[in-house]
Amino acid sequence: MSDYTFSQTIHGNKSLPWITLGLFIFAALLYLTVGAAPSSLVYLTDQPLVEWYRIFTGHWVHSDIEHASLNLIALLILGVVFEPVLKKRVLSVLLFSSLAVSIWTGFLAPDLKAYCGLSGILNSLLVYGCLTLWKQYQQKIYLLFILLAATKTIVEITSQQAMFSHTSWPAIPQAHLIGMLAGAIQFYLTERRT
Amino acid sequence: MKQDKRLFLQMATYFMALFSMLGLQPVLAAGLLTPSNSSLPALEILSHKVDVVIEDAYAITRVEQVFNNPHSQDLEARYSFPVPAHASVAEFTLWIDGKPVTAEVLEKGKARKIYQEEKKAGRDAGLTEKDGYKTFEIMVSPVRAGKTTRIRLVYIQPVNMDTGIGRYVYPLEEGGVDEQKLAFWTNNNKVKKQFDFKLKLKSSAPVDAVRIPGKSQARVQQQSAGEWQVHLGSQGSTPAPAANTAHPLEGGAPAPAFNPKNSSAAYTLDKDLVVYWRQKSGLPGRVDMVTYKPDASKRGTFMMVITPGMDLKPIARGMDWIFVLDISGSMQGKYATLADGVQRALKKMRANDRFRIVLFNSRATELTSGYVNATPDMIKHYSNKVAQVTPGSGTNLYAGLAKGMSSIHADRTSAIVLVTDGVANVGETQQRKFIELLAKKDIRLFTFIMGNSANRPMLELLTRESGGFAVSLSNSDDIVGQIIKATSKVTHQALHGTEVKISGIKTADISPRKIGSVYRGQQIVLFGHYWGNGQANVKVTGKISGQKKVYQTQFNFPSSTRENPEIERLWAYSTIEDLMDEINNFGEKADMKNAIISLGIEYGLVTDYTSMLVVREDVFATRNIKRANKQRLTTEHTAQQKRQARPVPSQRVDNNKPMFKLPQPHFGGGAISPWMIMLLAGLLVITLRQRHAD
Repeated sequence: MSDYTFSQTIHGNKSLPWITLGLFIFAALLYLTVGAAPSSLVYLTDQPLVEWYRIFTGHWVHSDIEHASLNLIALLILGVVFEPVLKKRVLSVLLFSSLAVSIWTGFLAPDLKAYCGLSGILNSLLVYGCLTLWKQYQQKIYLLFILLAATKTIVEITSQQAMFSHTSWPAIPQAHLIGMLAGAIQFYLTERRT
Repeated sequence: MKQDKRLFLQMATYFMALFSMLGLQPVLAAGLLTPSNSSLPALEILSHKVDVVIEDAYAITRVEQVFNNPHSQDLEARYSFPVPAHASVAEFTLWIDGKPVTAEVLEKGKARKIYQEEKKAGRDAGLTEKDGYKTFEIMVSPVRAGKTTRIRLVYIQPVNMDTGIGRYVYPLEEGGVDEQKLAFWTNNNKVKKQFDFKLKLKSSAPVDAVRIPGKSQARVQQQSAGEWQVHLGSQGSTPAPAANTAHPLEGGAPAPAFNPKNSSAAYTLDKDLVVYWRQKSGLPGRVDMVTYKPDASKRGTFMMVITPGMDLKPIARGMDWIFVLDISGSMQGKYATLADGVQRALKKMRANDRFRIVLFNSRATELTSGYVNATPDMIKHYSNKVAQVTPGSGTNLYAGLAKGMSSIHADRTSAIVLVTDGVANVGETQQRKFIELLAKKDIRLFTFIMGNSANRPMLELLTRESGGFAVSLSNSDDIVGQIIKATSKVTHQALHGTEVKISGIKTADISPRKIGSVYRGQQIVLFGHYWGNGQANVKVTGKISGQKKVYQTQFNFPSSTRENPEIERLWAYSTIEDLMDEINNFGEKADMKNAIISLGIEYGLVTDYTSMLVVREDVFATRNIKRANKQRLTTEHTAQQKRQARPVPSQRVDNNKPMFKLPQPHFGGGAISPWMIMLLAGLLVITLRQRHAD
C-alpha cells in the first residue's frame, strides 16, 4: 500500500507527484513560449512520418488557452490520483499512448490534417490508472469512472459533436477512445508480465 | 518524405516569422479625409454601425455612418475605406431632409460632373467612387453647419471558405503604401459616439465555433447549429461643446476644431475586423448551388460552389524554393522579424535542399548568387547577410520576380514564394509583362498579399496563371491558422488545369473564365446564366501530378426561384473582374470599358468606370436619371426579409449522386471537456478518501 496521504500533499514532502508536476510545468511553459498550435510542433496527420518527434510533441501543444487550461488541469488531477500508485509508469503510459493516438490520427483518421492536445493520452492514463486502482482496491467504482468516460466519448462520436468543449481546433473524440483502448491494452500487457 | 518534412518546417517557420511582422506595420486607416495643409476644419464621425449577414455563399455588409459638422460653415465630407476583397457596392443611401434617398449608377465622369454641379448649387448630393483596387471614396455635400448627415453603404461579396473554415474581413486598415495619399490627406478615423459591429452567420452546415481574434470584448452567441451572432460595440464620451460658436465675422470666437485627443472616442477605425467560423468536421465534399430565376421563361443566374474532397497526397520529390521578398520602404519596422524567420528556416534545411533568396525594392538583388546547398556554413553566412539588409525605396516587383526566375533548373520542380504588401511603382508595371515573364518558365507562384493596399487583382491573376495560389493576410488575422493552411497546400498535390463543364442544360456567361489550380481545402466558385430547367451533368476535370482526374455529378437546375436576387450582382461583378483582368493585360479598349459600364449600370455596381450618385428625388427626375437601382434594391430587400424569417436551407445539390467520395479536409485537437474535469475531480476525491482510509 502507498504511504501517500492527502495531508502530506498539502504540507508538501517528497511524496508529491513530481513527474506530473514536471510534465505540467513543461506543457505550461511550452504554451507560454511557443504559443497556440505552433506549426513546428503539431502533429501533421496528413504527413504522419514528417519529423518523427511530432508523434510526441503534438500531444503537448494546444490550440488555445482554453484547450491548454482544461488539459493541464486534467493532467494535474490524474497525476495526484495515479502517480503515487503508478510512479514512473506514468511516463511509459503516456509514451505508449502517444504512439497509439498518433498512429490512429496519422494513418487511420479520415482526412485529418493536423492534431494537437493532451486529451488523447490523458484518457489512456485515466483508463490505465483506474484499472490499476480497481485491481488494488477491488472496488468497482473505478470501473464506473471508465464506463462514464467511455460513454461520453461514444456519444460524442455517434452524434459527431463535442460535448461541452469549444476550442479553436475541434475535439476529436475518436482520439480519446483510442487513448482509452491504449491504456487498457497496456494494463493487460503489464498484468500478463507480472 | 524527409525532404518534404524539412520543406514543411522551413516553410512554416519562415511564414510564421513573415506574418508576425504584420503587427509592426505602420498603417493608415479608414476615415474622414481632410487635405493636409488646409485651413478647412475637420468633420466628425459620430457613429459607425456595421451589420453583416452571411448566408452560406455570400455576405451582405451594411455600413451606416453619421457625420457631424460642429463648425459654423457648410462642409463636404469625404470618407475613404479599403476595397473589400471581391466586393461590389450595391447600395449608397443618403438621408436628405430626413428621408433616405438611394443612389443610381452612372458612368464615372458623368456622375462626378453632376455631383460637382449639385454641390456648387448648394443642393444635397452624394457620390461613391472606386479608386482602383485601393479604396472606395464617399463624398457628401453639404454637411450643413452644426448639423449631421447620415449615409448607408451596402456591399455584397462571395464568402471565403478554406479547409472548412470561413473567413470574413471588414477592412479598415490601409496598407500605408499609397504615398501620394499619405502626403496629401489627413485622416480622422475616430468614431466619436457609437461604434457597433454585428455579424449574423446563417449556415446550412453545422458550425462548431466562431471567433473574432483580438477582440475579447466581442460577444459571440450561438442561436442554433448553423446560426451564430457576433456583436462588438462601444460608446464614446466627449467633453461639453464650447459655449461660443458664433461665426468669427460676427465677432464671436471661432468654434473649436474637433480634436480627437480632447475626447474619448468610441472606436478607432484603424484595424480590420476578422471573423472566422469553423464548420463541423467530416463534412462531405459537395456541390452547392444558389439560383435566381424569377421568370421561368427567361434567363436565370446561378452561383455554384464546389467543395472538393480529393485525395491529394504529400509531395515526395524535392523542390527548389526561391524566396522573393519585398524590402521596399513600407516594410520598415518589420524587417528584423523577417530576417529572423529566414534564419530559422535556413537552419532547418538539409544539405541537399536548395534555396535562393531574392530581395527587391527599386531594384532586385540576389543574396545567394544561384542555388545554395544548405550546409551549416552557408546557412550561417546567408542568415547574417539577410539580417544586415535595410529596407527602403520603391517597389520594383517585376525585377524581383525576374531575378527569382532566372537560373531555374528544368529538371527540378520550382516554386517562388512572393511576399509583398505593396504596389509595383518602379520599373515595369504592366500586368501583361508580368504574365509573359511567368509564362517563360514552368514555375508556380505562391503569393502572400499583406494588407489592404496591395494590388490584389494583379497578384491574384499572376498567381492563378502560374498555377499557384494567393493568400490575403490582414494584421488582424489568426496568423498561425493561416500558416498551417497555406503550408498544407504547398506541400501537397493540387488539381491543375481545372475545368468545370455543364451539359444537359443551356448555360452561358460563365465567370471566372479561368479557374486554374485548386489546392487542398480550396473551393471552386462559379457564376453563370442558364435557360430552361431540368437535369444537368456537371463535370470537374483536371490533373493531379500529371494524371487526369474527372469528378462528376447530376442535379436539377430549377425552373423558377426568387430567394436570392443578389447573385445577379455577384455574377456581374465577377464578369467585371474578368474584363478588368483583360484590360490590365492588354490595355484599355473601348469595347471592354463600355461592357463594364453597361454591366455596372444595369446591375447597380460601383466599378473603375461607374459610380453611384445621390441627388434629390426631383433632381433625378429633372436630369432624367432612371431609378433602376432603386427598383433592384426593393426586390433584394423583400427577398432578404423573407430569408431572415427562416433558417438557411441546405444548398447542396449533388445529394443523389455525390461528386466526391472523400470528406473535405479539416484540423483537429484533443480537448478535455469541463464535464470530464468534474468526473476527474470526483475520482480524485474518492481515491484520496480511499488512501486516507488505508
